[in-house]
Amino acid sequence: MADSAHNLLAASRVRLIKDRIARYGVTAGGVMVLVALLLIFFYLLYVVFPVFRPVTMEQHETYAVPGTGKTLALGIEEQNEIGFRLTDDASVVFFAARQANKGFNPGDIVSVEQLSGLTGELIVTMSTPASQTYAIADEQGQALVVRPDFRVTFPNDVRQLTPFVSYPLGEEPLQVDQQGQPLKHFVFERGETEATFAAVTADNRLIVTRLLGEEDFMTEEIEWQAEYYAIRTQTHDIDQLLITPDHRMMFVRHANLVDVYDISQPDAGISRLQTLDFGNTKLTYMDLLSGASSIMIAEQGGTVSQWFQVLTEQGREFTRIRDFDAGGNVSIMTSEFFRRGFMAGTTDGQLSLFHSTGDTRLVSKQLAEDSIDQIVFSPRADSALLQEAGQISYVDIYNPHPEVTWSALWQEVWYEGYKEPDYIWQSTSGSDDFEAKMSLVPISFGTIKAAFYAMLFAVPLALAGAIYTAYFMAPEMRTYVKPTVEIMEALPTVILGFLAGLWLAPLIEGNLPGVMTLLIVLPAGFLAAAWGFHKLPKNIKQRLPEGWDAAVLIPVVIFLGWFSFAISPTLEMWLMGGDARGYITNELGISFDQRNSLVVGIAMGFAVIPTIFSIAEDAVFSVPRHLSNGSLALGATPWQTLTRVVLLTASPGIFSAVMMGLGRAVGETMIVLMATGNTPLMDWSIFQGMRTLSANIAVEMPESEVGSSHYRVLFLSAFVLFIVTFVFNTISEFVRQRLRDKYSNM
Amino acid sequence: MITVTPTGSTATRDLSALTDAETALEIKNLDLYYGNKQALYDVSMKIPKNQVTAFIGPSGCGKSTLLRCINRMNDLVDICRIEGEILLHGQNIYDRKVDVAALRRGVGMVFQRPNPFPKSIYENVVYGLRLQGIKDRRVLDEAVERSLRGAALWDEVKDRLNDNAFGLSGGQQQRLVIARAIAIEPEVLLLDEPTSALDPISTLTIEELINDLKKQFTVVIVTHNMQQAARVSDQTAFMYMGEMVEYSDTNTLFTTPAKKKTEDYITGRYG
Repeated sequence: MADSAHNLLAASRVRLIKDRIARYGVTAGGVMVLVALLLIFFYLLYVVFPVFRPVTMEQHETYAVPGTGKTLALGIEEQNEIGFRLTDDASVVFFAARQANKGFNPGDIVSVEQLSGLTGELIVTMSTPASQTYAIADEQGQALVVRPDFRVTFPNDVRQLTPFVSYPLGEEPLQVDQQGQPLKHFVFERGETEATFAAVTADNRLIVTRLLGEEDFMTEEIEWQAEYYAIRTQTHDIDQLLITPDHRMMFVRHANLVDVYDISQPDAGISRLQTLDFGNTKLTYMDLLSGASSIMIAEQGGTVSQWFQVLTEQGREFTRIRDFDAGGNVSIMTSEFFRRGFMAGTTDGQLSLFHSTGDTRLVSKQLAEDSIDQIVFSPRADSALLQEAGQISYVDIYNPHPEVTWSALWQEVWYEGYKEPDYIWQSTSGSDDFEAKMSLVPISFGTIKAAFYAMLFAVPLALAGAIYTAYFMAPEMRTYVKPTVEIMEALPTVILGFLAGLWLAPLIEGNLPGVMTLLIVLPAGFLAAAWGFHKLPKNIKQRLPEGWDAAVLIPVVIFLGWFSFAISPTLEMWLMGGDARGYITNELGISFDQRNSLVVGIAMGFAVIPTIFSIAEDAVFSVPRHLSNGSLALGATPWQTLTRVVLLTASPGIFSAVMMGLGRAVGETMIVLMATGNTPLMDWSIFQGMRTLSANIAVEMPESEVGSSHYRVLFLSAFVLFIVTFVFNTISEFVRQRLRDKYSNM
Repeated sequence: MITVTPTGSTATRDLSALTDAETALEIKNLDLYYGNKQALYDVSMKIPKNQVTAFIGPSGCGKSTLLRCINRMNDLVDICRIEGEILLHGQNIYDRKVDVAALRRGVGMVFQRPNPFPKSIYENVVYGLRLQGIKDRRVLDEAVERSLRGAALWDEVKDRLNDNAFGLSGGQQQRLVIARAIAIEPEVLLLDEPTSALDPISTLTIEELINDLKKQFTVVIVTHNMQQAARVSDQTAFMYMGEMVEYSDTNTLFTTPAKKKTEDYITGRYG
């Protein structure tokens, strides 16, 4: 007796353990799904986060100016280890810029290079920052072009930088002013075989000197021939000059005006193109941004305005694009080497960091007590050297992604060279002269557009098909139709995309009138066939088992398809002059892409239909018979029963089906990748392509540099996609629950 | 033993001798086949007006099938084939010209399980009227009150007409379904085991309701509960294996059945 009771207990213990295992297993599974989802979420955030980390600018090391003389220009090499000064006693002083563990303390002199051939008081100018070239002019109107350079060696496997000075235009000073006058202001730019100087001499002449190099084929040395030009001008109080690195344009700042000169062909005459007039506001400084399309002009009071050429009715004109606030009178500005960022120092020692397309002041800080004398970016813009009152400071800058701001991502941005502000995605370009344009709007739009056209095609077909199959079709026919449609879902989308791009797109392009005819003829033909079948004598109709009527349409579809394509050339000849594409482009004024929304709508619709069909069919089919019977018993026709009771009861399921389809369409990648043309346009036209978030990630991720702004923005777009899907699903689940509470049946 | 409470006329009548004026429905030589299997054999009967007629018999005897023939619900079954006639106002409802929807407006039906629609109580009641295109709010309001009173539900739901019908109890739902059926004022009301899914109290309420309903409608009820048939009906038809074994006044059938099979069934020898 006791034994059997014990056995009973033992048996129930096994059951208990099994039950526990099942319970913990299920719980663990659910938790793991959640954890996986959260991991994805946090990984995306982790990659995206640096974009939104605040920019910092920290003064690290401050030391007395190393070496002798007055600093005319400062510079720092790429590794931020060695800085250099160009001094008024014609030397280049290289010094340790920061603590870099190389046997030097910050401020220690590494080496000094004495320049020869210059006499008297010197002035210095720096060409476009990326070239790292300086020109030093003396009292006799002569200039020496120098480039502080660094040789990297690895003695004992330790990297060692050895500074030296190279002379790109020869070690002999070049005559800038023909008349040998000292220069008050001067600027220069150099190319491979030409160099341009612009200067204001002590006797107030504005001159342009162009050097043309000729290679001596014996010695391979370049002989420089100078051409001298003088510009007649009434202005005697020129404050600043600038020329563009392409030797085409010169900017002359004086008082409250900036004159723009065309110096591209000085031998044909130098003409003034435009004058930028600031009214009564005096100007304090100007500088070119990297790429030299934009000029930044600082006004009295601290407003810095960006100007670049915009195509207007009068031709290309400099236009004021946007303003920044430097917080005080700007005494000095310098721009980054490769990005559209710049710094402005004020007379009261405030230093601000800006990014032009980001349209923001990134950070602003009081770094000096008095006016900042010299400021220069390091080539990677992750540090700067600053001199004020006999002290040099090494400033550490954390600013890896200045171009990614909320406004640049989601608002219209006026990019250099564009006619007006616009949403543009153009993440990479052939040269650094053009900045990356990373607006998420066009690709988000593309996602919505692709989903919209796909749903436009899929929802009516899938829902109508599902309702017919579930509610009207003979059960036997249903057993063939439903699995057939569902197996479409197993079709790899890469194959659908491949077919859409390489087969369907050219087919539609070649038979455009036929496709359009099909859109009209197919529904009309269906109705006509249904009406005709309805009017057939009953004995013929009865040969078809009830619920098989849909089969009647099979030959109709085949015939109409053949018919539409067969008359396509005739229609094209008759209505469109034999060239549908040309007709649409020229006569209707609609641009036509071969890979367009029509193709995507059909291909992606095809991918979405099984999802919607399957779920909606189940929903309609599972409406209890007793509900539809109840309706029929009250004298409702089958159609009334369908619309008033069955669809209402199935509505949560139908809603789910559509939302699942939408989710699929939004996240779909391969089809849109292969069939949209990937053109990030903002245009609802059915004949235009688009680029979607998902396809954009697939296309650009492999070529994006890890950790770059581009890389992080791609992750951000993935995050946006994730959030959009998440929000969509949550809302739809919420709505579905509400519907189910309302319409669920016993 | 079964106690019989006569509800209608006490005298034994010859139901086959009813005049046309007294007859609501006449079933003539009805055969019904599901595919090759015959489910009803040569059923003939006259159902008198404004009375309650019950079909009883063991499970699978064809009583529900016969009931469903009266408003052609069997049409929904693909393999179902019918021979013979059912006459309503002298017209065969299986005639090709008959509009099934119109027929069902005249012959309402209530099913075994309460099947309110996923709508408000109000919308459930006016469903049939809306189908006919009636939109006048006043007409609908009146119909709702009349029908709900007719189904003895008005007092319970009059304050929450716009609530979802699923909020009602099973018995209330079944009365709502009856209200929905009588809202379109059919001539004949078919009740297919209307209380089999309900508790005894609700059953009692419905049975009382049936008694009231016959003042206005001809009621045909299928039940497997013989007591219920005895309590509510005026005449009872006993069916067995698809055949109409005996059809007479309820009183007669339960007290002095003419056929051995009937007696065996009502005394509980099988069923």
